Amino acid sequence: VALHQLGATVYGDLTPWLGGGFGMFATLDTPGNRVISAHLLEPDFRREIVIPESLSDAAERARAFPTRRRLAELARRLAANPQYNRRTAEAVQLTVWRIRPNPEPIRTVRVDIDH
Amino acid sequence: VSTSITDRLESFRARALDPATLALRLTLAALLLRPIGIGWLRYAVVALAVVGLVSPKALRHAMLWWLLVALATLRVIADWPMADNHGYLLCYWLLAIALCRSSVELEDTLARNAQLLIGLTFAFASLWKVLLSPDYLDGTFLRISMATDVRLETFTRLAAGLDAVELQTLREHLHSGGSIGGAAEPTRYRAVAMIATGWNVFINLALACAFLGLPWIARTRNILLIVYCTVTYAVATVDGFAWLLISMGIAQTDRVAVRTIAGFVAVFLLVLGYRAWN
Repeated sequence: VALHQLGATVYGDLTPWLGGGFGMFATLDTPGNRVISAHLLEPDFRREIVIPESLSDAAERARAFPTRRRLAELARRLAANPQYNRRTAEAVQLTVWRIRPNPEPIRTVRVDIDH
Repeated sequence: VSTSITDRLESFRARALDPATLALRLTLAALLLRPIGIGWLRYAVVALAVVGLVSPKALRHAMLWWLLVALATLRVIADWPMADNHGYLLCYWLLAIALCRSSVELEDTLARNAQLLIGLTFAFASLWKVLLSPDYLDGTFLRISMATDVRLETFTRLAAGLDAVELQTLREHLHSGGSIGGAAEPTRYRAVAMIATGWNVFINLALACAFLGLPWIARTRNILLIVYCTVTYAVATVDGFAWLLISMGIAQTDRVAVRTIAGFVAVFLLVLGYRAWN
């Protein structure tokens, strides 16, 4: 398990604090020091959108271990939200950021909206 | 009559100080004090812990421990990847107990497993702090976390001598994108962070070496673990992890080392006191 955690942190961007590898209290790369920015992409502009409370659990897991699959699933669930599934909207784009010690993007995923 | 009473007293003392049984009881007590999981799983774990504590027969029965292994593992899988590291350690420890329940040499087998689990826990913790983390050894982690992690606030204010306003000022400086160092970082604050970093590296490495059997330090392993739990869990409020380490620490203690066992029990209660204080 601990070796799997090492691999997942190095190759999969799992936060070292989680996963059973005992990397807690060893780095600033905590789940709390990561954020997800979500944008609705329209032809001429992009609009920042808020991840609703109903998706907070999925968002928390995506911050901790932002695999492409997990982010894409979260983006699809956002895209299915009637509030965002507008005729002009083309896609939902999610980016997970590390905010400490310096802000840097970890992974970006774009999921097109099917109308 | 007096011989009979003396014999019974001796028998009681022998049973009370049996480290394996005491370790099992404290493991169950830890599950009651800090239940794991949510919903039905949490109630099932608490119910099994109560059964094990009130019934000596159940405490010795492998089925109780296999059920706890199943529930603890289910919780880690259901929570993936959000379970704390001691959630995994709990699974290993419960599995070791369940397997040892079938062993004729329960005490020795459990002691060996407890020693290895503690040693490996600190070996991996050391690996992260010393080799893998990009921001631990240079002190960056604690210099930022002491200001921004509210769990460390009491320690920061006491050790670094900051009042609430000074700490808030430093916190706001960091939250607004300011870097650590320079005029914003008090000298004593920085010194405390660097000493704490060095201490953590030392104690994690020492515990890994001691519990994995390096001859020159192995004999000090119990006192090292007692010191570690006393100091660390006064600052980092992860009592479930502390109680698990103490239970395993007792399991690998020689049954004649009465003072060591008493020391572990005292620290178990001390961590409960830390929790009440916090």
